[in-house]
Amino acid sequence: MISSQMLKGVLEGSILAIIQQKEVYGYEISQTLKGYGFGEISEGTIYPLLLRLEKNGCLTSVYSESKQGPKRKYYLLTEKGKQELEEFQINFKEMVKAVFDLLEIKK
Amino acid sequence: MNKKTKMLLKENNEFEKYNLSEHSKNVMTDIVCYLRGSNLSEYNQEVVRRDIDYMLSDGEKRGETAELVVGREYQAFCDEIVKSFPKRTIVERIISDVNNITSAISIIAFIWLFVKVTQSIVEGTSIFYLQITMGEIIGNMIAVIEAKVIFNYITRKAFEESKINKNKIMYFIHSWLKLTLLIIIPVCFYIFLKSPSFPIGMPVAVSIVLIPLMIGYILDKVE
Repeated sequence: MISSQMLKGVLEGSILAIIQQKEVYGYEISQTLKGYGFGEISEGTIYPLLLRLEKNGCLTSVYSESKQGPKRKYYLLTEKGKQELEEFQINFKEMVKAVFDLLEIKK
Repeated sequence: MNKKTKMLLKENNEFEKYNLSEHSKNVMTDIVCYLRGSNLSEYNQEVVRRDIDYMLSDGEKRGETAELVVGREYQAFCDEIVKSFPKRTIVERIISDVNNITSAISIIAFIWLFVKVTQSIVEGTSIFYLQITMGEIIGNMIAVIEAKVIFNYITRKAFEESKINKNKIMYFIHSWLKLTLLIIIPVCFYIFLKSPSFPIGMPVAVSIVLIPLMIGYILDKVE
């Protein structure tokens, strides 16, 4: 389980990574994150991040009908979102490497 | 409120009426009340409301309560939403505040005009010339300020008020006492400050109602 402090920092990038794979809605994102071991993350945690990413031009959204009932808001990655994701991947890998190296030295 | 916002508001009202459980409706009432007092534009408030409505309804279909869907901390949830929007500029905030104040002025002026015309008819005096007293001017100004204060208080305490379930009777009495006190202040000015008074013609009296209404209409278009 990843601690909530660390989780907060990487959640945004992870959301971009999920949306890059396919068009998804809020609940699907929370379930995908859970599947990857992020723990229980409610839509209430994800929604403000999605709004922010949308406002920054990283995402666009469309409302589509669902079989279960009400419409769902599906998110798509924009060109800016793709660039943000690439930057996140580079920065995160660098950070992980740095922390990993530090932990190795400590051993 | 502009046409686009009005339409979305109507859609959201309809959606909540037929698609949400009583519990989710109560949660939405608190959330919407809190967002009304936030920095979000009226349109963005309705966009967010629609998203949360869909989220809650979808959650109910899976058998999940509002607490599970958005988390237990509704206020924190709303604060995060507000933070995710770009801050409004000073001009945008001024336009919004002036719009709210003009709405309050036109409503209070309309009530005042209605009372005055009724009074004139009952007393058999001319309705084309009305007497406005200093007490009415000050009382109405206080009423406008009070309306803004009450609005801010209710929206800020949206989540706190719903938690007060322990003693509903005391809460009811307490709320009514506060409200009565607020009403008494402008009424006292009405009753006890009868002079000086000024005669105003009906066109001027109607203008006091219509001008703020027109300003509000124009500002709605700008917003």
